[in-house]
This record gives sequence, C-alpha cells and structure tokens, in this order.
Amino acid sequence: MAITRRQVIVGGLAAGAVASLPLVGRRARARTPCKLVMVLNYGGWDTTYSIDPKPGLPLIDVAEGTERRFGNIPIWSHPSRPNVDRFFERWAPRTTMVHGVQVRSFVHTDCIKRVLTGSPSETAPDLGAMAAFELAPDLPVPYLALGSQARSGPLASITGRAGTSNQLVALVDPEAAYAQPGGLIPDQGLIPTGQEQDLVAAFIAAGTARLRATRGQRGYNKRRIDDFAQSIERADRLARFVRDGASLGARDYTPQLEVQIPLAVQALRDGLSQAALLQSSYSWDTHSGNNQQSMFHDGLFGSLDTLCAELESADLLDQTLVVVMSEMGRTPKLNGQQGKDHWPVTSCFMLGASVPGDRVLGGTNDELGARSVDLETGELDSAGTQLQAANLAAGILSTVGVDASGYLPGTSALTLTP
Amino acid sequence: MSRRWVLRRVAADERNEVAVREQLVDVHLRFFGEEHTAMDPEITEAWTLWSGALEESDDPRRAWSITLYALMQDVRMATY
Repeated sequence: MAITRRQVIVGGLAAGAVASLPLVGRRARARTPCKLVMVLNYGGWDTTYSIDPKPGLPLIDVAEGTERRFGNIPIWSHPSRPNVDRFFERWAPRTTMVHGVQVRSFVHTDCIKRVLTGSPSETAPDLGAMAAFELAPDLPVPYLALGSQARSGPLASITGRAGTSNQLVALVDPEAAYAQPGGLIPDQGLIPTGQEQDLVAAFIAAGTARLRATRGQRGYNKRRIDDFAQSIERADRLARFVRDGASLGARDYTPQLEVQIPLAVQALRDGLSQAALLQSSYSWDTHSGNNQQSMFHDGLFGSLDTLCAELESADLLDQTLVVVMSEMGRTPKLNGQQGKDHWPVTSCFMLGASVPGDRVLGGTNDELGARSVDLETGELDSAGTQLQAANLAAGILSTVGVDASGYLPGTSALTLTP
Repeated sequence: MSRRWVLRRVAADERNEVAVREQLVDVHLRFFGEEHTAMDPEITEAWTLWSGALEESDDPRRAWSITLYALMQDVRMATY
C-alpha cells in the first residue's frame, strides 16, 4: 500500500503526541467541514474582567463591576467596558463559553503550544494549520497567519504569513501595493509566456528530481522537498488568484485586529484561505497595572463585534467557527505592583458554524481553579475530568470537520457540538 | 558591464554557448554555492532553459530574465 505524504506527516505527529500526551479516551468525531478563525490574545488575559465573573470572593481580586447575565452567560460588566456588553447583547445567543481549561504551565511558550496545538510538542502545527491542511490544501493560501504566534510546524508550506504590513500584496500585485509617484507605473515583474513557463517548470522539476534522488529519497528531506515543490505550484495559484481579479487586501499595519479582520474575512470569502489566525496587539501580560486589562477587554470585544458582524454580512458565520482564546489566565490575587502573574487555568469562547449558543461549559471555582467536567457534555461533574487544552483542541478540530485522532491520538475531545 | 551584479561575464547580446555556459557556472556558484564545470548536467539543464527561452523570444536579455527567474525558484535556493 502506498503511503501518502499526509499519512507520513500525520503519523509522525501522532507518534510524537502519543509519547508526550497520555490522555486516553474515545476518538474525536469529524463533522461537516467548516472554516476556522482563531483570535489569540497573547500574554494571558484576566478572565475576571469580562467572561468569568467572580464577585465577592476573598481569594479573588476583581475590578469594579456588576454581574450581568446575557441569557445563560454571566458577564462582568462595567461602564468603562461598554464593548463587552455590546458584544454579548448581540452575540451571546450564538456563544459557547468554555471555562476551566488547564494549560499545565506558567510559561508563555509552553502554554501557547498547548492551546494552539493541543500538544506540548515544539514542532506540532496549530489548529488553523491542521484544519487548512486537512480541509483545503489546494487553496492559494490555505492557512493565513496574521498573528505572530501562529505555529505551522511541518505544515509551513500551506501557511501564508502576511507580515507586518501585508507584504503578500507586494509579492503578487506590486501595482496595488505601492504608490505611483509622478505617474510612474510599478514594475509588474516578469510574466512568462506559456511556452516560457513550461521551460521554467521543466527546469525546476529536473532540479527537484535530482535533489530528491540524491538527498531526499525518504524521511524529513523528502517531505521538505515535496513541500518546496508544492509551494512553487501554490505561488503560481496565488498569482493567478490575483490576476483573476481577487484581492489580498491593502497594505496596512497588520498587527492591529482592525486591519486583520477585513483581511481574514476577505480571504475566507474569496476562497484564498480556509483558516486564519488573528492576534490582538494588546500587552495582556500585566504583571503590573492589571487595570489595563479593562481597556484591553473593551478594545478586544469591540473588534470581535466587528469580526462577527463582517462574517455574518458575508454569509460566512454559519460556516465558520470563531474561537477566542488566550494561552493562560492571571492569578486570582493582585501582586505588589497591582499586577497579576501567570495562571495555568484559562477560558475561551467560540461562536459560529454549528456550535450552539447561550451556554457555558466547564467552570472555575472560588479560587479560580478548574472544575471537573464531563467531556461528553461539557457539564460540570465532580466525578469527571479536568479539561485539558488537548481535549479542547480535539473538540475544536472535530467541530470544524477534522478527525482529531490523527493529530491527537488517544485524546478525548470536548464535545462542542451535540 | 562594470555596474552589473549578476551577469558579469556576458554582453547583453551574447548568444555563444560557451560564453553563456561560463556565465551559468558563475551564477550557480553565486546563487547556490555550487562549483560546476561548463558541461556538468546542472549547467546543461540551465543551458537548455536559456536556449529554449532565446528560441521563444529571440532576445538574450529576455532569455536571461527567464533563466534567473527559474534559478531563483530552484529548490537549491531553499537548501543553500
């Protein structure tokens, strides 16, 4: 039986995951494929400012506010954060909240691996890369990485990084990317004729075949050579995508969510990408001055409202899962600098696609520790299990239509869609 | 030719195979860090490309553009 490149990659990842993640359980069920947008808040958000209200508890310091319920979802509300309320007024009926996610570390670099990939592996691809590779590897840029923390691992060849100013545009459409002072027309670059392109393709194929025969007959080298060859084909596909009239958006400062959102929505709508990772630019790691979290939350939820509204107006929200997460939480108590330090339990929420709204899965206790859950239902269950980042990752993969068992073997998926 | 950075060994209208092969040897060293002789298979592949492109356009400048365009997409760029 022939072994495909995908089987090799998935098998390699699976072997690594088996060795490092002893979470035994049932296989995750794949569902109807859908798109994936992850919004990462890197640095560690303080969930008590919005999505995990903890009023009147001696062991948890919280900002001023009141608990407000939006259907079944309690939110910590304050006039200084109007966008939080506004978001849930509109989107709570579609939102699933997930609390008590164990990230098993106090270190940013370890936590980010776990929440984005479900694995402690240095080389595992993140959820966006997995989803894009499995569901739409033939798109021009299957996985659009608009945030710096995206982890493509061995799936780098299907990942496009827009750079800090959406330099992808400049690569394929110089006229759109640069101003034209004095009527100068930017160099369009070399556009080969069909015959010339055939000559070029034959040359590249010959060089690739020679390298494959000498240094890349199997294993890592073979996969990297295959990746390179496919990248060349994908670059042509991307150029054709633009020549056919589609756009990669404008040159702008992509670290800002306001810039990332239209790029991502357009990429999903126009068939450029299957998955995207967005990342807010706030300095969430508030070891001092934790009250900055208030402003960050307000800004974030304003942007999220825009994201969901744009996806909905593009008729994409029903076929796109939006996941909002941070790699860790913050300590219950303030430190001496009025900041909060790292905490190995966090929350996330999601909406869109087939995920039910108006519900809360999991929970945290009066010390901001994770409460045990029944992974089949997400309901609190003292006889259940601690919700690990791997369980959540497997649940997300399954929800977007990827068989998570290939990437996270033996991991029980949190059931997000009944 | 003194202001050129890449194609220093050929005139703009050069069509002679020996001269073009020598230039291709030089480009392989500069692009890929590989030493070749003019008749090595790698240089012959590049010559085939260059001469094919010349046949298509009848323009040595265009043939070099196409050749450099291909060389910069060669997998050796990634393994340099």
